Amino acid sequence: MSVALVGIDVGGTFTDGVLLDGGVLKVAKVATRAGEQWRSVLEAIEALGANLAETSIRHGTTVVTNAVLERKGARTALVTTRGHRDVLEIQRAVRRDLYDIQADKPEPLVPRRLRFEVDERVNWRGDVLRAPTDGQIQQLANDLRAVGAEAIAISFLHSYVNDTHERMVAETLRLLLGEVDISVSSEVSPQFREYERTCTVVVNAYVKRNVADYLSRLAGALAEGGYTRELLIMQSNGGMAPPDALISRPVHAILSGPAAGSMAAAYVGALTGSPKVIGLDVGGTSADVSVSVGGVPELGTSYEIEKGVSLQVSSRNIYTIGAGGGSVGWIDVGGRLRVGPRSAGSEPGPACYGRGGTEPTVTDANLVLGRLNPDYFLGGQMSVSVDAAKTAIESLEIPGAQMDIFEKATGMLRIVEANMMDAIRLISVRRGHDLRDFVLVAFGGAGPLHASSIARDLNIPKVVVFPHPGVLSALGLLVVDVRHDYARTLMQPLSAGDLETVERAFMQLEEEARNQLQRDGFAPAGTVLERSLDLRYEGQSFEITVGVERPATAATLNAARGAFDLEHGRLRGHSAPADPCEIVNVRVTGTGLTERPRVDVANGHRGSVGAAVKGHRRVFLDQPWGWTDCTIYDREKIPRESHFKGPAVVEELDSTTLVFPSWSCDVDSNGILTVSSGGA
Amino acid sequence: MVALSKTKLDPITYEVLLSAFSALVNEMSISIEKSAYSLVITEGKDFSSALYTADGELVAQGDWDLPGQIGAMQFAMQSTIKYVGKDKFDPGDVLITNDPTLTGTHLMDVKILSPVFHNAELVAFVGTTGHWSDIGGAAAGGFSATATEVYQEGVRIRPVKLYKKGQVDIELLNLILDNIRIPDERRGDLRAQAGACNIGAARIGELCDKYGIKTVVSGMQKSIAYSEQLLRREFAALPDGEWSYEEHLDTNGIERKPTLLRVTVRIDGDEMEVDFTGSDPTAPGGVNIPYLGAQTSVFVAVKALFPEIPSNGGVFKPITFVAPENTVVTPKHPAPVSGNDTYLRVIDVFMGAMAPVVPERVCGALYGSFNNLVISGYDSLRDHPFVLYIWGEGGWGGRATKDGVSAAMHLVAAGTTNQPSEALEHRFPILIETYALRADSGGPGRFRGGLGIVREIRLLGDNLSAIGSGDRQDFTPYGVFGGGSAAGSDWAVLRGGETRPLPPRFEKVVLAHDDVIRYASPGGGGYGLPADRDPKQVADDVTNGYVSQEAAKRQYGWDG
Repeated sequence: MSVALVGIDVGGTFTDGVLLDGGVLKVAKVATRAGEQWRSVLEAIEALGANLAETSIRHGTTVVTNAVLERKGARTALVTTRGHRDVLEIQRAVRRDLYDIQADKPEPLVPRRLRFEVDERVNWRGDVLRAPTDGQIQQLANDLRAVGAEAIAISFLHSYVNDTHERMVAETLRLLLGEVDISVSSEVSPQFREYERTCTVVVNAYVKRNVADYLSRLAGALAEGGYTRELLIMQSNGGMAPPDALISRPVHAILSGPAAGSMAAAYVGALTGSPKVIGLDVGGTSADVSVSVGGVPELGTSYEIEKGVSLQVSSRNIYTIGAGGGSVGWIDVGGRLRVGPRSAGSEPGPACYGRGGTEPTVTDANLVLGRLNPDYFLGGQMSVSVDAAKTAIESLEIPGAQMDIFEKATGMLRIVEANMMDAIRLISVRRGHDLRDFVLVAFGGAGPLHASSIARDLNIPKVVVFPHPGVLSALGLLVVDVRHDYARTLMQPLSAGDLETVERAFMQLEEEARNQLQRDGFAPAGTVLERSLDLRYEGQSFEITVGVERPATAATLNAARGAFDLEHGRLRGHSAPADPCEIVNVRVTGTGLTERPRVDVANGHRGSVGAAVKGHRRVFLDQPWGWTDCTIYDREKIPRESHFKGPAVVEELDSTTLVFPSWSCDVDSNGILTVSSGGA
Repeated sequence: MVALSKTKLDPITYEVLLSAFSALVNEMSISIEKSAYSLVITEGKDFSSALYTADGELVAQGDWDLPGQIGAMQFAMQSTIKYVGKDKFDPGDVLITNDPTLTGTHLMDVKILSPVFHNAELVAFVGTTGHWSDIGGAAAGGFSATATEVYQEGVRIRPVKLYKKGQVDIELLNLILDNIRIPDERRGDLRAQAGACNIGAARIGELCDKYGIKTVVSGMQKSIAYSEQLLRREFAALPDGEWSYEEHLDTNGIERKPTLLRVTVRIDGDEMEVDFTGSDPTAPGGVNIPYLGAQTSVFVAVKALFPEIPSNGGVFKPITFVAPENTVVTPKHPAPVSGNDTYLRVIDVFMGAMAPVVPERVCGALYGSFNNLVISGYDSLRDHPFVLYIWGEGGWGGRATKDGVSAAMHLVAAGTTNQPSEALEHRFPILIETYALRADSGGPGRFRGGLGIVREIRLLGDNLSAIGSGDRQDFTPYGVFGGGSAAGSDWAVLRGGETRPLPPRFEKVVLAHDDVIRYASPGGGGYGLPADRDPKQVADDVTNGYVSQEAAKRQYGWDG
């Protein structure tokens, strides 16, 4: 019996599902039920027509992010070293906006009255200066009981080098308080910088119950439906974790959904032979931009969930801006036309939805310009009103400018696309990349619609569009491994350092990774352990991560040092191979290899390209073209390994792709479209 | 064929250009941050990037650039054009300057400026400022508390071409670097700043290729006109009249004798005049600031009051300045000008004057002191000398609808961060015993001022000495509309069971191993009458320990 793979990605508006059975891909899209994500997951599975008994499910969720952003986690208390309980509120002393007097800092997840201190102290070398007394911990337990703490986070200074006190306090509290969740910083994130570590352990404690409740509800419902296999959840690092692993470190699921999108973009790039990929995922409210080099999206060592709330979790680098199909066009007080960041969302949605929205959105502009087909919205499942879109666009009055409705609509598109281009440029330039070496993988419902214009302006040679781009993130869930990242601060000179200490630190982390993968059900042969080091020049404050071979010897560390100098030169424009260098963190990644499914997305249609033409339409294209008679293709009917030229519009159930005049579109053996200005 | 007499810029292209201008200065800033050497730049974020018109008017500045440089960048460029002569620039020129009188900041802020030519036509300038870790002079790092002349503060460079038509002037470069500590690092800073200018110039070139010079130039002009128009509209909506405010600094730069700053704001139609008449004469010590520096502080404050107006050359137009010669803000050469807390106090007096005019936009006074602390000595454990530099956060004032922000960096230094205790202890022989919010430091009010912080640092090195400046011990941050003033700065050395207070400005205080140095930064002033505060908020403050029971009783009549 074959097991079908199911990927379910929950977004703010829609929950996307894909089912892959014997290489054949099925897709579904259902509305997300806020607060009851597990129901949306079940509905998506039902829409896919999956037989739960014969599937293996992978899931991307926003439960963690929502709990933090909406401040809906457990009543959490924080226990710190004496004199340092305010680290969570002082933060890095930065407000959300540089100038605005009204700008605040993010509200700490634990209010001051729930932050307690213990008279203990360890120094930077791990020497105990003061140990907590039993009486103190007893008192602490009473205090915690009195305030009704539902979850507890413990974070002592320098606990990454000596965790004795954290463990002692945690163990005693567990004895005294019984059933209360305790998260310990040296377990969740044994890395230096007390604010970020404390933030990480606090978020971990804060969301633990939400995640556990959610997963048990979902698992229960799935089991009722006959599901028997392990459910896997996407983490920020672009790898999967089973529920038990995730419940112990829920903070690692903070970027679950977007990480899946970036992994999918890299996967599609690899399928087309392009290791360098800009991922552009445009939905209703936002655009996520990612950069992949060497077939994987870039990995960072931290993630900022809100301005100033920085978490020590391995995360795919994703840059999000408020630009999507629902982004609203408006005139500011100075008479400038602006687009976004506010979105009409799904309720009321764009004016053309006819659900009460009157403000012009990017979707309305696309409709007015003929780029979207009113008769084939969501594959014809949804009826939209071009008149309502026109009225909304027409209502934009730009003082001092005589513009017709089409100029206004193209204007909106140019502005929203300029914002996306700036995001792409910044994220790539920041990492020292040249965009001419990349392909643009466009997905999300609105990504392909804007990709050609963006690629044209940014000199990105090719736009790549996978079949069913609207649900590509969900497909991303099916093409990744189980992965756990571990890090520990070591802080010692790289060359003069003690090799044994480095090796021991690596081995400890590897032990942790190995045990977790074993609990996840992987035999040693199916796992890979990789080491890396966070290095910096002595005196710097930011680290760069480089891989290192095993075991730790003068030679392997020296090789890592060489890689660091190179990377420093690439990222920061200069390097100093003669300057002393220090190790800040050692890192281990444990991967449980999962089988890559065969994706046979093309429909097997063997006819001519001509048979895929469903008609012609006048579409208002970018300058210099303007109104242009375009050939409309039905993507479902485009044969693989075919080729056609613009001007053309490719329509499919969940998205639309533009091919400009004299541009060409190549369809490969997987049915993937590659749109480019060159080509034959 | 009829030639178009004027390029009509359509609103869409304009919007796209604005986005591109902003992206290109951000790109310049990223490039500086990533490649500079000075820690004050890479960690302290003390740098900025700018795009100017060919007349030197500011068009755009990086989104996260140091606010304190907002005005200085405009002044530096305009002074440079005037000084060099507009027709004297060639493609490939790169200029350097740090002259306080011409640019408005202290000597450490080095500006690198470059003309942008397209098809042999001067279309724009780009520029960067970086706070160099050293600029020569008596004290390493530049902030001398004993300087009585600007000559002791470092090397002064009037605008001069460091690169002529793309060729570096080695002799000039050596002349500068030979007078600065750690010249190789400064060479790195210079490379980073000049590199950023190249990036900015290249982007402008791409825009000109794509849209044409005329369109790009009119985009720049239109953006300036837009900001000017918005600010004029704001001013026009305010009542006409005249408002004054005055405040004291604790010292004259040398002794603990107050220095008066006074400002009068006059609003007339859509214009504003800011008059410093009544401020004390040039001070003997480094509390003086250059006139353009005082103006910079006012622009930062205006931007804080009207944050939605893009900061560019347009905001300078509706504001004029008046000041007699020879005051603390128009110091007589060669008075020292390292300044520091004076930049903050100018903001305080300006905001104080504006409070009755825009009550819904102002807040109680900010904490108003940089709390600079430099400890030097010998680290016996690591066996090397060390210099530890800490700058500090404090409380912001209460606002019209909510309490002030606690423990945040000052407006002019917004965007800079604190340093983690764990990182400091790794690098320096210190133990940070306390790093906490300072209870009762926020000024009472209907909306309470934010809290300052307390840091207690146990010194584990030897041969220790400390330099510090923490103004606002004698004159504490004011409240507005009946709000109370905040607790002032409080510095002390704890030795044995003894507490020895430190003055607002001190230099070469000798300290011993195991001494604890404690500094408490001021909170922000309150907003509105404490009696009008919601009793529930008072009770919350007590529960959270932001306000002690005693203070709650005294200030709010709390009887919990």
